[in-house]
Amino acid sequence: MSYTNSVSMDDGNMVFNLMPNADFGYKVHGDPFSTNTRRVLAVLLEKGISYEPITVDLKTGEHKRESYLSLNPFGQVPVFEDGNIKLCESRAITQYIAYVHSSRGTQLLNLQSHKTMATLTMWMEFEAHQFDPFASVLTWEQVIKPIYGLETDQTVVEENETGLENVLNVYEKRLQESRFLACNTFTLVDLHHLPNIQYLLGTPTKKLFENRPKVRTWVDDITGREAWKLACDHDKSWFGK
Amino acid sequence: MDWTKKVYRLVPNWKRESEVKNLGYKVHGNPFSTSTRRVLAVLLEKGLSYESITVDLKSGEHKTESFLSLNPFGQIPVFVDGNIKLHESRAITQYIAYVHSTRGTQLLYLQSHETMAILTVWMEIEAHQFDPFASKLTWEQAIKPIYGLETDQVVVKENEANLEKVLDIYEKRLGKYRFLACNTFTLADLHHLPNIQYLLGTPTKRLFEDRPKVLKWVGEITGREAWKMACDHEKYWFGKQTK
Repeated sequence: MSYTNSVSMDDGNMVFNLMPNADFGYKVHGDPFSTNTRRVLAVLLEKGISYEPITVDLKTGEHKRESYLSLNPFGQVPVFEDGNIKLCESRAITQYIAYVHSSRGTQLLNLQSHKTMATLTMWMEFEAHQFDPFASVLTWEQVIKPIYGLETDQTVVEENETGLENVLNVYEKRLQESRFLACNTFTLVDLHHLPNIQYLLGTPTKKLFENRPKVRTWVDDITGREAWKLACDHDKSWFGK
Repeated sequence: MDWTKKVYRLVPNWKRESEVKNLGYKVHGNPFSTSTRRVLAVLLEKGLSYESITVDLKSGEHKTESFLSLNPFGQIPVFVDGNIKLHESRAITQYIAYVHSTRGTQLLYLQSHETMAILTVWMEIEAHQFDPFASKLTWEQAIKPIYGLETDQVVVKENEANLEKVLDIYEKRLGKYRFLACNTFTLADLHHLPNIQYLLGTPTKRLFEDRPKVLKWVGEITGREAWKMACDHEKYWFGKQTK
């Protein structure tokens, strides 16, 4: 089966709205405010797949206790359950769902050819190895630490903003040739960026996105997606379930 | 389906030079770089030939305009297949492993969504749990001295403490499976090789030696023919340049 690049983001959103939810008995152990948990929710929602959310209380350290470590020995959220399969690492989970349900809901891969998939895989690696190291530290310092009553280290923020600026300069050039990062349609690559970007838009770091016109358009596009807004709505997408 | 038998039938293929497939692949990199070796390992496991083009890291060639036009992040390796240029070693290894999935060593586990999912999880674990500590330890103890810089023992201690926790989890896992993802060698194991190889030449090697299952696994994967070739810079890098 081949998918053309002519599917627009609007079609993706429309498909999302009209599609009934499919139930495969999936469970997500996590926290609705965790970037990694939201990454997984985003894919499930883009695909119109329902799931049972099971809250892991990070504040009381539930993720470091024996009972949770038997689910994920690395003591991190989320853990995704599909029958007797238990998966950790959000980017492995998102890929699993995107492949298993590749013909359902929003098309998140670019399965036309080995070459298009190679470009997509490469950009997924960029997000993981170039963007995330800086973006996640900035999220931790400015958003998470205050929640735990810890003080933001401005030196660390400055350092990581400089690192992130270099990455965003590369993104700015790329987005002149391509509407989204991997190709002209929204894919898993763009989705993987969402959790950190969402938090950083509420911090001074947002100026890094605003200063770059193509990046800014892209950020607006991807954060404006229905499925993403739902992933961030913890009442509807987590506690309401 | 007995996949172990299929794997053993395919293994000798890569050894016969005349059968090595030449698809015009090029690798821009450096034979001592961990990321470059990660890519070479896959090409060699698959019996694929390639042209090696050295990027002189010491003189900062990877930050020059001409190299940045190949990879704007200024990192090696860059893999060229016709008009497609790929960077990020783990994207390159996956590309080669998928395109040539029926050739040479079987590095994926495509016969089941479930096992491919577990393999993907272990590739992510290598990238996000193992590599952050292992690559810093390699940098401090193996690379910095080459550039005449001093090893920071505080950083080494910190990262060893973290790596130990990761290896404790590996020890449990390898008590159930011969390799990380399943009972056959896959990309998940291969991705670990470049850092492990360097760390075996540093005091950090005791972290592997203290854990019997991990030690056995390290012995098996570093003993693979293709891996030894990937580390042989005379034959498998400088011997493959066309200049």
